[in-house]
Amino acid sequence: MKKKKQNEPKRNVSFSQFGSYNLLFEYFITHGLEQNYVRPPEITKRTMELGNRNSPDFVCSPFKFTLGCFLEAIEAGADTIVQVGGVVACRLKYYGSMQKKIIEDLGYDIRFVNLAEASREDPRSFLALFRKINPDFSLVKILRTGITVVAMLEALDRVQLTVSKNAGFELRDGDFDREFRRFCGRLLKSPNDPISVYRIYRETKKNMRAIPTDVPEHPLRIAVIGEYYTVMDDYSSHNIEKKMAKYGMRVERWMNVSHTLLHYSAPKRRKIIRDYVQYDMGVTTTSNVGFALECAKKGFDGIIQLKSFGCTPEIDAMPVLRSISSDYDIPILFFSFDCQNADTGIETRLEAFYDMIRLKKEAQLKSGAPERAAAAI
Amino acid sequence: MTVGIPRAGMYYRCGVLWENFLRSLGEDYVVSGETNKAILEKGSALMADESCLSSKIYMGHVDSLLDRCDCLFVPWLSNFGADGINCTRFRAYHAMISNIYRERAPKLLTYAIDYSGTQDMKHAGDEETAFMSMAKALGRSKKEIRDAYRAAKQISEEDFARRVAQAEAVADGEGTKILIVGHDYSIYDAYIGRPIIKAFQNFGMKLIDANLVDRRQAQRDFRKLSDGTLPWTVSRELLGGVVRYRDRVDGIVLLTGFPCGPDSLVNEVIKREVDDKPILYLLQDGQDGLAGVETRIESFTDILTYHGNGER
Repeated sequence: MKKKKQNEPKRNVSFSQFGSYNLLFEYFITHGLEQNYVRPPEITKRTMELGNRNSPDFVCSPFKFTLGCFLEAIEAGADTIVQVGGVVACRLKYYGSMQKKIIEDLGYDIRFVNLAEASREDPRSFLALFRKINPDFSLVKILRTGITVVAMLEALDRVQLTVSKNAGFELRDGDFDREFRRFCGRLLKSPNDPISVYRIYRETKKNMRAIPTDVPEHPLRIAVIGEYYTVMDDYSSHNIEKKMAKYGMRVERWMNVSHTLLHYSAPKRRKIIRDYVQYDMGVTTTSNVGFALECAKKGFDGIIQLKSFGCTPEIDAMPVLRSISSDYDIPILFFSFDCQNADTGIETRLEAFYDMIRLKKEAQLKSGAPERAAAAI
Repeated sequence: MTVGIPRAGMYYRCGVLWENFLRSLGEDYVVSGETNKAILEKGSALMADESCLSSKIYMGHVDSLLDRCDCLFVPWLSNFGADGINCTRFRAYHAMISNIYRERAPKLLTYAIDYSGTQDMKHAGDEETAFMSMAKALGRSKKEIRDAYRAAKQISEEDFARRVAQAEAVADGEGTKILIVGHDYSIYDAYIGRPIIKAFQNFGMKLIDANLVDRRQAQRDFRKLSDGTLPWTVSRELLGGVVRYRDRVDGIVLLTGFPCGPDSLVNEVIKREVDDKPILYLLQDGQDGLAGVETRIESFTDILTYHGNGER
């Protein structure tokens, strides 16, 4: 067994930038599949241009971002690329196949592992893909690391939520961000068991509670919804959550990997929104509309939808969101990002939105209208 | 009760089935008129700017029917099991219409197609099961619905087979032949596709619609151009059509309404995989005036004619 490993050099595996989730992927590749991981360079303007130049014209921007990341990772020495496919029924399902074709046409000789080829119903189909990365993988190690990674995913998303909610009220700039980065670094070095992950999580939570904050009595509470990639990737969304934090908004976002993969029940969400939607709208539309409605009922001050240009499921959600907006008197701001937006336009729109909801809230408090629900942390 | 059917979207694929089904039940129905500028403008005003051209047209047709019918025919078409899925927009129309017209609250007649059963929707299933779920809304017995559906299904399948045979005959015949690849709701739309078809015909070209292939065969053939992860049924059939006809035509036209999600990727597949035929890519965004398009069509037909004469 050991001899064989010496014969076959380790592969250099990479995955595109996607929020903070790369670290889970890195952990799985290095501990579970025992291969090298090539960190894709941080997304820059060049990444975007590289992706843009080699992509079909009006494909959605996550395609361009991920393609750009792959090309830069290949330049950095990656010889194996992994793309997700998932259970969704939008263009994402075909990303892998198309990107493989594009990368091959550019003349790169790499191994492309497309998770869209596997199906959730048949776990063996995943093993075939793992074999492409490491032919002599150890199932025990994969399962063990898998459990750790799921624990990490849960911890990561919870900590991320805490940061989104509270970063707007920190007294020293960047406290939450620093703690979050430290947390990510510690996760990567964590021993391979869920208990160690939990320990790191608990300590981080404790540290975050100790960060001095100044939360006003009635903070502005904003629900962030939107398309899967853009809503979770800071570069794609122009760091909008950080910009919102600067205005002292309490950001609540349901959409993340652990919620959609592990805690999502379509029938439950459909039941919540049945006054608006009688037939499932598919992909992330139902879950986004459901979360928007829940927040509207709780008396949130605004909803912000983030999506890439032309994202069909999110466009479909817009008429429903408008209905919710008028029924619950909650303003909605729609953002549609493509690859060439400058920051200024986004800041101006966000500022105008902030002014509007702030004035609305002040008038509401002055007139003594009861808030629909108390702000809960 | 008068049922209103928008002449857009899946009407071009299932219209024969729908009309014959309603006719054999003796229901009154009305199909909206051909797409015109007013319909497109109305639809554009109702839909978000960045929606695809076809969905703007669809909503325009829906709007034109509101005063003319008692209920709108808006099926929920999710997936065809192993044969792939529909563009997610065909799942959203129902909710979009009921939210855009909340004040008017038009009655919607719906059936829900969900072969893979993953959406666990009530009453959803294969086509026959889905049609049966309309029994209550139409006030008919299940038997009446089943008989009407089966008769209509047979007619629509015969009609489709006849059109496929016609396309095959054109492909085997003489003349300069062009394969037109696009959604049928673009190709046959009076505002988007038909002026283009007419322009080609004026230059003496014979057109073959890539949708007109044996659908079972196309489900196997598309794998010659793509791997099996291609999700959309219609796109698979279009690629199957390209495989089926590419050797018998002189050129290929890709006709797409901006910014169609599936086409943004599938057109790229065709452009990369078919390297032995001239390809013209026509992206329609609902602008007035055909002059620019006609110039491109003319130069494309010139290229095909020179190719045909052995010139380079």
